[in-house]
Amino acid sequence: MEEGHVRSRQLDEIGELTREYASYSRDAVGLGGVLGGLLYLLTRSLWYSGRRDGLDWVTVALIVATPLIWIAAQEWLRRWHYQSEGLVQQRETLVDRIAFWSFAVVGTAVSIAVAFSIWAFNGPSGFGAILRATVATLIVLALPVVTGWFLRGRYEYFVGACMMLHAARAIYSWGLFHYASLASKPDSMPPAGFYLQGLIGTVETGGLLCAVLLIVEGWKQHQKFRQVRDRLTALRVQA
Amino acid sequence: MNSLPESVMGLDRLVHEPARLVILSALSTAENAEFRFLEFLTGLTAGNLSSHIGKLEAAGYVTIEKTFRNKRPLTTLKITDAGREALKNYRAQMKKALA
Repeated sequence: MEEGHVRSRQLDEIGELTREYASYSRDAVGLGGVLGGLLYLLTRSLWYSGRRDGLDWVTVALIVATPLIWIAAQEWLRRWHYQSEGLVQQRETLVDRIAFWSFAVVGTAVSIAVAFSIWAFNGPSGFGAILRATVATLIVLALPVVTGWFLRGRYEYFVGACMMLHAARAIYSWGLFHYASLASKPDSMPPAGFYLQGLIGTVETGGLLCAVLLIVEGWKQHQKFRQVRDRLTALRVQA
Repeated sequence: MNSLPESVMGLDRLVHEPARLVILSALSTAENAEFRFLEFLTGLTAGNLSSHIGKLEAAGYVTIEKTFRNKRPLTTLKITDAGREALKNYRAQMKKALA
């Protein structure tokens, strides 16, 4: 390195590769995105099969654990795979800050609205229902914090938010409502609650598209990372 | 002996050294970087890299933060505005000198 001649083009490349490498500290998720997309599809199928056949505690536990598993796996991948040569933090631009606060505001508004609706449309009463509603509310209120802290990409954020909404709905609905079909209203559910569930369900359908896009984007990012790492290694050898 | 062109004489020698040039170039595109990454990037030994970083820090081109993560020391470097400016000026001067 000391005797090497560093050309201008190489300096540009070093800067660019460092920028790319640093992006895996925040925006780029790579295999974490692939995993998140697949887990969302799994959550979604578990939710619908559970809704039709009745949610058992194993299904509910799986649905609730899914966002936690995803976030833990994603952080592990970041630290031990994508930043294994040393931590490099991505620079935050004004656009990033605006995007972050936009997500935070929308996430908080959705979170408060859903938390309010859980109590406003909470048809059945009793200790069990209140306990489930409390846990569901806590999950929903944690949504903007968890997604804002760990999930920074647009697809990532949306899929993560939908996963947490699924978790809250699974806990809230567990043993409470029986759906004769996917489109029918359970007897014990107030109409407003049913329409709200329908609205959330529609939003979550958008999550399906985002999950597929997240899988594709994550895979592309993973391939890109391999190129970045190879180029960084090659530059080091040249130097 | 003929004197060197002014554009070459005016180059910042602190930045001109290849290892320091690589360190500044890498730091300029990131918020901060761990010492270990710069070790990987430059291929320098820890002692040699520390020496270069010490010079950059003394010039006010980088700041060093020493913390602990999982009870292990973690050294993080960040380029300062002066360091960014020095790199920018150096590259402009170099371009001019080579033109």
